Parts: sequence; C-alpha cells; structure tokens
Amino acid sequence: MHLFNQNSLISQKSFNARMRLILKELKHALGVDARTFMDLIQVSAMDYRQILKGTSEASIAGLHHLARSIHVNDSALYTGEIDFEAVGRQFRGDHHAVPKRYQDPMHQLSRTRGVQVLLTYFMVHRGAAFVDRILKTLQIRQEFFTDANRYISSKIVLDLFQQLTVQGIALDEMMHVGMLNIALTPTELKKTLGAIHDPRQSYLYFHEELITKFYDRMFDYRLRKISNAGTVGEVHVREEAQDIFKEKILGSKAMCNYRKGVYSSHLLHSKSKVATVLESECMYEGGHRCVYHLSW
Amino acid sequence: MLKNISEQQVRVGLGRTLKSLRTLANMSQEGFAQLLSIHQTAVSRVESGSQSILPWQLLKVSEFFEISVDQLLSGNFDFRKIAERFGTLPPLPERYRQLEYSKIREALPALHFISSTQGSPFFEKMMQGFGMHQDFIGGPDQVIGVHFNLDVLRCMIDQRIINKNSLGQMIQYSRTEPVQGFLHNLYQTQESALSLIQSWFLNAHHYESNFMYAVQKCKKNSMEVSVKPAEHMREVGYKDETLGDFICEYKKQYLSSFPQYIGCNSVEVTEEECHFHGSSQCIYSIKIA
Repeated sequence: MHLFNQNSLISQKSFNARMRLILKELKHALGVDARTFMDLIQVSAMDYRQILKGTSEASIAGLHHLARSIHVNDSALYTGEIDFEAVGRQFRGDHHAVPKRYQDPMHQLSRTRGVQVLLTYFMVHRGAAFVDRILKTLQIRQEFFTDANRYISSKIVLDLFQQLTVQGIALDEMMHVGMLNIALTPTELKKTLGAIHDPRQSYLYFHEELITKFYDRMFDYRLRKISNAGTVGEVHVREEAQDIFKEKILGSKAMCNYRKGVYSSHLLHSKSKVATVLESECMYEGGHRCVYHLSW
Repeated sequence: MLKNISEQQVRVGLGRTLKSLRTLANMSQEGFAQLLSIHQTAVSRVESGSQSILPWQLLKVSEFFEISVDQLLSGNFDFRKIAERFGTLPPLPERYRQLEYSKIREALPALHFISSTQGSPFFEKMMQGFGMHQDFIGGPDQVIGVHFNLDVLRCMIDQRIINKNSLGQMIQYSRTEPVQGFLHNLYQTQESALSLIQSWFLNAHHYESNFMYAVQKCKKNSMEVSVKPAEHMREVGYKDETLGDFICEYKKQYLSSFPQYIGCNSVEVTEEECHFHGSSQCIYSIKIA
C-alpha cells in the first residue's frame, strides 16, 4: 500500500500516460495478442484492463521482464527511446533488423569485420553481459554481426565507440583492442601481408588497398611520407561520409586510439615487430584530420 | 512462482540500492520520502525490500541521482561519483582510498570465507573495524586501495581464522562466479591446466596491479612464471610481522590448486626464487603432476 503525496499525482500521471502509449506501441510492433503481451509484462487480465484504462500500472519487475524479452535496456523502455519497428522485427525473428538510424544505405561504408574485433575482445575481457548491455543500447542483435564482409552503417561503428567510452573503457585499452585486429585478420589476407617483407611496402598496401577493401570506406587513408625508418599517414573523412559526422559524437577519440593499435601491430604480419605510433593531429581534438607518425 | 521470485528479487535488491543511495547522499528518510512522494514510514519498508515502489518513482530516483534505471536495477554504479556529487565522503576510509591498485575481486575469496565460516555478525563487526559498511562493497571490479586485502588477511591471521595450512579452504572460495565475475566464463572455456593458469596471469590486472605477473617460459607440460612487486609496493608493509611471507604462500597454493577450476588435478609448484626471502621477484616452476 502506498501513501502518495497529492503533489506527486501530476508526474505520476504523465509518466503513466506515456508508459501506456509505449506499451500500446510495443504490443502493436511485436505483433502479439493480448494474452502474450500480458505474459510479457507479467500482469493478469484484470490488471491489464486497468492499465489500459489508466487506473493501474505495470510493476518494475514486469517492465524488467518485458525489457529482457524484447532485448532493450530498461532505461529505453522507461523513456520510450525505442525503435519500435526494429525491436518488433527482431522479436519476430529478424535478427538483422536495425533501428531507422542505421538503415540509410548511403551510410553503409563499414564492414562488419571491424565490429567483430571489438565485440570479440570485450566478450572475453568484460563478459557477455557487458557486450549485451552495449548492443541493447544500440538496439541491435549480436546475430547482425555474423558476416564479416557485410557492409553496415558507419553510424553503428561510431555509436559503438561512443558507448565503449560511456562504459568507461580507457583510451589505452582501445589501442590494445586495435592491436587485436591482427589476430582476427582473414587467412588469405594474412598470407598476402606475410609475403610483403618491406615495411614501407606493407604500409603502402595497407593504405592503398587493405583498409578500403576489407574494413571501411568511411575514411580516406593517405600516406604523406614514407622512408626506411617510418611513415606519416593521415586520415580524412570521405565526402560520402561527411553527413555522418555532422552529428556531435562523443567518445570518438577512442576510434583514434583503436586505429593507433591497428597501425602499430600491422608489422607483426611480416616482421614480427610492433611500430611506435604517435598522433600529431586529431580531428576529434579540433584538427581537420588525424595524422599518425609511425616508426619501426 | 517464477514471477513472485522475480518481483521479490527486484524489490529486495532495489531496496538495498535505494538505502545505499540515500546514505551516500546524506539524505534523511523524510527527504527520501518526499522524493518518492510516499509517507516517511514507508521508506523503511521500501529499503528493507518488504514494499515495492512503482516505475514512475524509480524514474524519479534515476533522474535525481543521475543513474540509469538499468544501473539502479543491477546495483552496479560508481558509489564514489554519487558521494562526490553530493559532497559527502566516499564510503571508504582514507586508508583504502590510497594506492588504489587493487580490486574487490582480490579480497572476495577471503571475505566470502570469513562470512561463511565465522558468520554474518563477525563479518559485520570486522568490516566496522575497518571503517567500512558492507553495502558499499560493490562488484568484483570495484577499485580499492592495496591496504584493504592486506588488512583482511592480517585480521584473519590475528584472529586465527586462517594460517598457511588452512589456506586451501579459503582458496576454494575463489573458484566461483560471484568472486570471479566475467572471468568465470573465461576460465571455464580453458582446456588445460596450463592454459588456465596462463589466462589467469594475462588477466591479473583485473585482480590487482600490486604485482607484475609474467609467463617466462611455456612448454607442453610445464611453465615458469614470475611475480614481481610494483614500484608502489615499497611504501606498503606487506612483509610485516603478521603477514611475513604469507602472501607468497597464498600465491603458491592459489597457483597449485587453480586448475581445479576446470576439473583438472592440482599442479606441482616449486619456488625457484622468492621475493620474500631476498630476491627481486618470485619465480615459480609449474609442472603438470
């Protein structure tokens, strides 16, 4: 039994009104009947009728059960920040459904391969619950990332890095993750890279072909200088990806450090060496590009 | 039945979290009652888990403390940040806020052992003696000062709860998911004793950064590992009269029995060098028995 302060009724009322709408939308999106929906929010038929009338509400445990069943965070359910269509399709078995934010075909500039590295690393080092939490925030199922060669929206990659930063992953660790790319490089690519013994040629191939062909077309990777001791490379946002970066992105510095890890471990393919990488300019710190200085 | 258990778990867990938050914010029950728009007498019932709150109240708490609903339900959030926001001291004595190179995971086997063998009243009294409230011990990954685990071990030795001969009983408590957290699944997937030990060494930083763990040599049925104290350990009296070389023995026995995690037999551990007896590091030679 609860004794409510009269002044609380307005906020309680508006919350419950919003939650009624959210539940209504969800039921429609999930395409389930009333009985199934009642089971999802763990209410009886009588309680359900009262919820629809606005004279009762689902419990915290019931909403938690619903959130788990449809694979979203509880927070998203409470605020209504759910892509109902995507969640509905996922619930009905289409695990490749993604929120509208990620559906623009013009943004499909990144291959799944890079995301697989991130997910694999954090699955091992932080556990399944950590990865699950992040994917729920993005409202994407893990099955979506099965095909390494598939092109996906680059916004997924950026949002993923943002979430990793929000979850407290340090920049140093992001560099370690980048270095793991080498462990997950496809076999045929490893053979090609292993056959190139000259570091300069290896990095040339890396910039001219490898990244664009196997990882992403969001950025332009250019070699500015190359010598026996090292290279200077720069990274620009490609024209076709410019509008992705119009949004204010938190935590993308993590992507720079990830890239540093990829750069530094690249030589392991042929020379079993690790390059030293320094970043002298960064687009996430006010620069127009990222500039990396490598030496070995 | 499942539904009732789920509701009860949510109610009890949430009640504990709400009480912790109120205490961290130095808020009275009356103040909390106003936030939740309930009568003051209901606050105790909510905090004890005998009465539930409603979703809209949970959202109010979420907005007030700036913690997501998910974090409130899991109880997994940074206590320190809450205390800083409200200008109250973090729920840790100053001693355990220094040299924060350990994680709670390091001390959990000992804490679980004490709680199981000595009972809750003893455990609570011990924690009070450390100036800590047990509600403020978070998950295994919570950072804490190096002195905490050492103080727990000293207390256990002083109170004769543990000695070098009975270490094995305590170490058994380390082989559980509540203690290991996400590492539990990692260990379970290892296929051999040596790969298990190697995975532990590679993840040593998830326990503490007071010692540096390295695999020096690795063969099919044996390996050699080193354990070297970090720079900051010079300030820490971990080889005092009470502890002596207890920590060394602890590590040795932990190593030896760790393969039991995946159902393997213990391994043979020989100490080739010992930091506690003059060398710069401990070197252990490990052989599959």
